[in-house]
Amino acid sequence: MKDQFDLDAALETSSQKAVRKWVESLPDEGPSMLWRSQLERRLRLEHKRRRVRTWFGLGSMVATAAAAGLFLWLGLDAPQRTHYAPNQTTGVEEMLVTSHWDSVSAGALDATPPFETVSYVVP
Amino acid sequence: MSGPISDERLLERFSRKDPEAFSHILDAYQVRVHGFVRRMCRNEDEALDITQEVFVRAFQALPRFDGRSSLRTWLFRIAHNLCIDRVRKSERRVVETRLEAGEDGEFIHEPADDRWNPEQVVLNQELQSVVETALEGLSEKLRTVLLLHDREDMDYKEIAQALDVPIGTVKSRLFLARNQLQRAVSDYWNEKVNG
Repeated sequence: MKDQFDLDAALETSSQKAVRKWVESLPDEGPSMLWRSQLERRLRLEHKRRRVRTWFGLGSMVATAAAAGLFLWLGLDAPQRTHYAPNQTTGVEEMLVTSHWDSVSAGALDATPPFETVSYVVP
Repeated sequence: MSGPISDERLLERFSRKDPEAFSHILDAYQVRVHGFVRRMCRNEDEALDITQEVFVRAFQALPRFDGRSSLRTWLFRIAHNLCIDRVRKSERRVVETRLEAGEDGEFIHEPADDRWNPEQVVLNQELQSVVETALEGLSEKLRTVLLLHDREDMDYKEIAQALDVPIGTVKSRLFLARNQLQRAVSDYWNEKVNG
C-alpha cells in the first residue's frame, strides 16, 4: 500500500510532469487525403463483402428451413404403414398355426409322416 | 454548427447502419491512432499501413463491440496489438534499457509559448526532435504506456484495460518511461551545453 502511495506521489513530481508536457507538446500530422481515400475504398469493399456474407448466410438459412419443411411435409403425407399384429389372426391363419403344431406334435410321436394336413370346411 | 459527436452517439448510429457513422469515427481518431502507431513502429509507411488495418479491423469488429471499454480504449488496443504483431513479425529487437530512478529536478525544460519568439521556436523544435528520438529508444512496453497516458490522456484504468495488465504495472512503467526519457533529454542537453 505504501509502495503504491509512493509511486503515485513519484508520478506527480515536477520532473515527471515536465516529461508529460514534452510528450503532450509533440506535433502530430494526420495521414494524407490519399491515404484516407484508400482506406474508404477498403471499407467499401469490406462493406460489400459483409453484405454478401449476410445474404449468403440468410440464403442458406432459408434453404435449410425449406428443406426441413419439405421433409416434414413429405413425412406427414406418406401412406400409413400397416403393422403386423400377431394377436389379430384370422380364422384361416389360426387354423394353419393349429395344424402346424398338431403336425409337429404328431411328428414328435412319430405317428404320422412329416407333412401337414389341413382340413378346412368351407362354410 | 455541429460540434463533435460523442462516441456513444456514433456507436448508436453505426448500429443503425448509418453509413456516415464510421466516417465520423475516422475523423475523430485517425490522427491520434496514426500518431500512436507512428511512434510505436518508427516507420512511416508501415505506420500508415497499420493505421489503415486498425480501422479496417475496427469496422469488421464494431458490430460485435460490447461496450465494456470505451471506443477509444478499444481502438488503441487494436492499434497496440497490431504494432506488437508487426514488431514480432519483423523480429525487430527491442532493447529495454535497465533503468534506475533519477533524482527529481535533474532537468526541467518546459515547452514555452513559441508564437512570438523565434529562438524559442527553434528550441522547441529541437526539444521535440530530441524527445522523439528519446521515445524511439524506449522499450515498446514503456513507450506504449507513456504515449497512452501522456499523449492520449488515458487514465490508468483505461490503459490497464487496453494492454491487459494491472494498474500497478501501468504506473510503474509510466514512471520508468518518464525517467528514461528525462535522462535521455538531459544527457543531450548537457552534451550540447558542455560542447
